[in-house]
Amino acid sequence: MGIIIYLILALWFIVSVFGQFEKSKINQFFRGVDHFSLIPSWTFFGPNPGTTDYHLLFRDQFDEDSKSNWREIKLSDGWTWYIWLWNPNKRKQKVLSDAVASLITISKKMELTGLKTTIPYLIVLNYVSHLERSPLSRQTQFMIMESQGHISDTKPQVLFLSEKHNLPDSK
Amino acid sequence: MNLIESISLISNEAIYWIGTLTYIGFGISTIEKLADFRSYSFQGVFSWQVNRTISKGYFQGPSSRFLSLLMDYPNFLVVQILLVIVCGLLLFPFDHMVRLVLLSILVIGLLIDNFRASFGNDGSDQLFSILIICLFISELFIDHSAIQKAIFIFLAAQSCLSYLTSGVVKARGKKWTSGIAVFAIFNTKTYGFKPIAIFLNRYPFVSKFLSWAVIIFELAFPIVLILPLEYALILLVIGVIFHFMNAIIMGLNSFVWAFVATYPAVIIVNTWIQAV
Repeated sequence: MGIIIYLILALWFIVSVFGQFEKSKINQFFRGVDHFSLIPSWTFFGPNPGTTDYHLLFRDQFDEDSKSNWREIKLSDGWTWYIWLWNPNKRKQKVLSDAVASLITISKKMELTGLKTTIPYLIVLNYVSHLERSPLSRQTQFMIMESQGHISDTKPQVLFLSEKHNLPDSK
Repeated sequence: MNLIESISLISNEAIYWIGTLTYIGFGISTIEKLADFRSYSFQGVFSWQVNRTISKGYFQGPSSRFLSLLMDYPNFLVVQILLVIVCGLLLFPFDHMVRLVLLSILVIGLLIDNFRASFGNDGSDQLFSILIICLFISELFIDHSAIQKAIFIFLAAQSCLSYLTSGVVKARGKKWTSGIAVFAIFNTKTYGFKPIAIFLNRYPFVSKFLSWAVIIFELAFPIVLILPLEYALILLVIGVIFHFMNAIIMGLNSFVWAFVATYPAVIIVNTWIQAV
């Protein structure tokens, strides 16, 4: 039995090493079959760390002529003194940041029609569609903007604008 | 008793510390999920209805119904509550069979967690997965000293790989080598803290020093295995401070528990290498 465990651990480590080479074909093959996320990626904040903030905004269409103003959805609650121990918002913040970053990357390679069926698009759309809003809202549209952080002279820029989507009937 | 003798942990003590740090860290991380339970509902960012579309080929027939039973809201939260209870119980010295059952539940829950989340997991989640599976194997082969040894080597190797990879990719990044990376990260609202960003903007040499300090620390980490234990411990203390500062400033709290949990394995492997 011991030999099987040694082989499993050795193979797991070798695959983990290949897993650090993001663009290698072996890595892409193993990641394709890694449904339990057991191949780590240890490239924290490198080589190019995220140095901008993404902003997710949405607006609703009430009828043909009227729509709401753009409203920003807070992706980060900001710093708290106990964040070193307790930070329950980090997951939501990360999934939205990851989805938004993926959306930006995919949108450079893909037409909007295909983009609308991708997981990051669906994550953002599903979230935005279920936010509290006016009962008069019929459709919603989201926008992703980018700003340069706390200290910056640069104005935020629009990175992505979605189509309008019908809101769920229950709203 | 000198320092080396007193720090030369026996395997059981090392496994105890790896386990304790893992169960506390994973437990906190799971309670955090429960605190943000709405995110796992149909309307939330972790909606199973959205995530399941990534591998819809797997979700047909009875398997679909069974998986949905575990992963749909609110059932998924019941799995999380169970994981918190299991983590709490594993902190107590139950006998071997009870621990094995608890660890089996933890591994199954962890795999469910990982299967469900296509987005949003971070490095600490990856390391917790590795640690928990290793703790399970260790408990399963509790009397097999060679397997225990293999687990320590594997964990120490993963720990060194994580720091080395992180250091290498940073050393290839212009923002890191030019020294603006630390300022630029702390200047974001996502991972930053305004007073520190203001300070680093005023004193850019501090940002440059910190950027290079991080690169050098991460690149140098694997030598922890071959350094005399006294120096290896200094490097590990720097590691603890590094992760703790990241937790305080950037909110990466789970990383402290996950990465420090690998350190007992690093110390054990170091003492073996020193003894050769």
